[in-house]
Amino acid sequence: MKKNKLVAMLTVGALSVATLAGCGSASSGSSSENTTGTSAAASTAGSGSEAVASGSGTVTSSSGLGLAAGSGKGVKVAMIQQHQTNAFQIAVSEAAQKKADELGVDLTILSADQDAAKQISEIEQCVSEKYDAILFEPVDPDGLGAAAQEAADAGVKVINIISACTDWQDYGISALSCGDNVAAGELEMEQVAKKLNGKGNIAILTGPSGDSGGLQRMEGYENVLKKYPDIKQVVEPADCQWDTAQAQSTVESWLSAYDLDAIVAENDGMAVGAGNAAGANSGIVITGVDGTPDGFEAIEDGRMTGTVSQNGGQMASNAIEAAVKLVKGDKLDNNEILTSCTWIDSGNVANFK
Amino acid sequence: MEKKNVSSRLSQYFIYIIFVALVIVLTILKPSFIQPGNLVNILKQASINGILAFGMMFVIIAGGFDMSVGSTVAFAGILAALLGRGNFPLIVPFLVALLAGLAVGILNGIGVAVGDLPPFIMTLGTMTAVRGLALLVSNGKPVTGITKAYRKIAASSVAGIPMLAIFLVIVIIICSFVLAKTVYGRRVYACGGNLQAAKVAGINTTFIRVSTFAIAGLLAGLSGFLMTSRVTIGQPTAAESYEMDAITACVVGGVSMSGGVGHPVGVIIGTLLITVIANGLDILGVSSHWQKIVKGVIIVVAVLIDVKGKSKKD
Repeated sequence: MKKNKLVAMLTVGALSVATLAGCGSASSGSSSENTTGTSAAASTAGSGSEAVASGSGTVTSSSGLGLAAGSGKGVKVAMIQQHQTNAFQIAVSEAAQKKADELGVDLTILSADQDAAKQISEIEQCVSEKYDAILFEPVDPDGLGAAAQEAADAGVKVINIISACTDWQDYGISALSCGDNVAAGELEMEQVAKKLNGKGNIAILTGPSGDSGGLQRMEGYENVLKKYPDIKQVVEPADCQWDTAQAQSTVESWLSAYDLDAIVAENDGMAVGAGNAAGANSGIVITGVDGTPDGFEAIEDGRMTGTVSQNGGQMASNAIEAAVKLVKGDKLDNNEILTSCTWIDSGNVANFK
Repeated sequence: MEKKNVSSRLSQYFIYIIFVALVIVLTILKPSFIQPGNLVNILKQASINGILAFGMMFVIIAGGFDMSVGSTVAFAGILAALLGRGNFPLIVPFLVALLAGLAVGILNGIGVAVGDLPPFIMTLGTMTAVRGLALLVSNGKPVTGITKAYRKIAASSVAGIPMLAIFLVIVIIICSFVLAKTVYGRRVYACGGNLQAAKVAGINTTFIRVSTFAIAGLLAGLSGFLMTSRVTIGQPTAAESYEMDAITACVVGGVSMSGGVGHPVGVIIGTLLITVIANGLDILGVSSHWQKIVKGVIIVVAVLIDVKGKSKKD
């Protein structure tokens, strides 16, 4: 029996060596920090991005809160992400770490692996380990309030990042740093309407039913579609689970039965799948949301028309700055920090790679 | 006597009847379903699941079960994408993907046949760990930048038949031959039918069981290589729950979960059935939630009729 265990362990060892060998080349992939070139992009975005920028009582920030380097020395911050399994989330971790290094903040990054119960335990753990501030992206908009309240009661500054908890102000949360999914959906659909001159057949690819980000993007689509009665959805929106392969199969099937002028996807992964099914320069307008490396690649070679970047990295670095300010006892000018979204297409994609 | 025959016949051909009925109904509802363009779609969409289902068939017939193939597809696909960005000739990512799949398969086999772990537990462990490896190697991000030549593998076709389907046909031919015509194939059935009896008969059951997992792993590696070519990126989260579709194709195609029973033709029909359900409902514009319901009902009904047919035979 012992011998068997040894064999198993050796095999595992061999696998991990393979892993390490792969790591070196993986990290050279592109990072998607989108802080530069925002103003240039915004001007091509048209009305959609202006709507994002003009929220009342909120601050739209793409340049940060202006803290000096090293001003966060001795501040201990934990950031709990929803998960770490896509390019958007990795951009969030990288930007947070970069900002923390710059300010001298002692940052720990955790992942909740899409599990609300795990996220609650992690918040509790961070409280008992005496972190000064906790940044978290809720796995569930309604499930994390009580845990946030408990942390706030224990004297920890709690900051909600990326997607807002329902009624976040009621749970002792000190600040919110996020994008606006409804606005992202509106911007995407506005661009589609512009490309189609307000008339055509479209189909929509959605994330898992019930995902709050996806539902908000859909709300944005519907807001815009009301203005364009000649844009028609010829099939029911298909739930493709954010998955490229599934979107690709669905769109292949659609294209053999429907005459589509545009395919609107709630993320870049599915838009890439749609682009693969349609082929490069198919004449079909194909759009996504996120601004991930696979999306950029597809925009460059003509499989995708464009995408809406939500600048997740900016949301994270703003939140780190807000945390430092709050821990030092300063007040925020505004406790709702919104990051604007930008439209990226073949004209400006090079600025974002 | 005659009645018994009818019901066992029914159970044997149930899946074919369902399949033909589905094709007829879909054609009536939406004539574009049967157009050559869409038939090509169906072949493309069936290929990766079909290859996985054939690997799964060996494991299940030998009395095992493999939960890890979806994760293995993602892991092998990531490795292939990392190596397929122009630094190496295409044969390198191809072989590395196959070897990675094979390694996971052999590990599964050793855990089950040598370590005596229940297949469900062993492969649940590798399913989780290998998904972690895929995320680790890719740093959680999709791997972009694979070469045009690599993309072309899945995108090209020979005489109108998509390349993916050609890979599937090759796998079907080799696997069917091995299972039906070789001593090895008969031993796989023997292991699944009655492991003790097979041992007593002098069959090296450990080798047979490890090798079936190895075949499933190897084919998962091949699927990973093809998957990356098809979606043009390596994704650590790809192929989530593909093992379930592979198991479904086997079970619906008459492969018994208790081992020892199953035929390649059934698995082919099982694979096509799953693909046609997804493709047909997409074409009809029906919500994808219905696909899950229809698939679930067909699994249960197929196995129910199978079981009833058998109990009458006894």
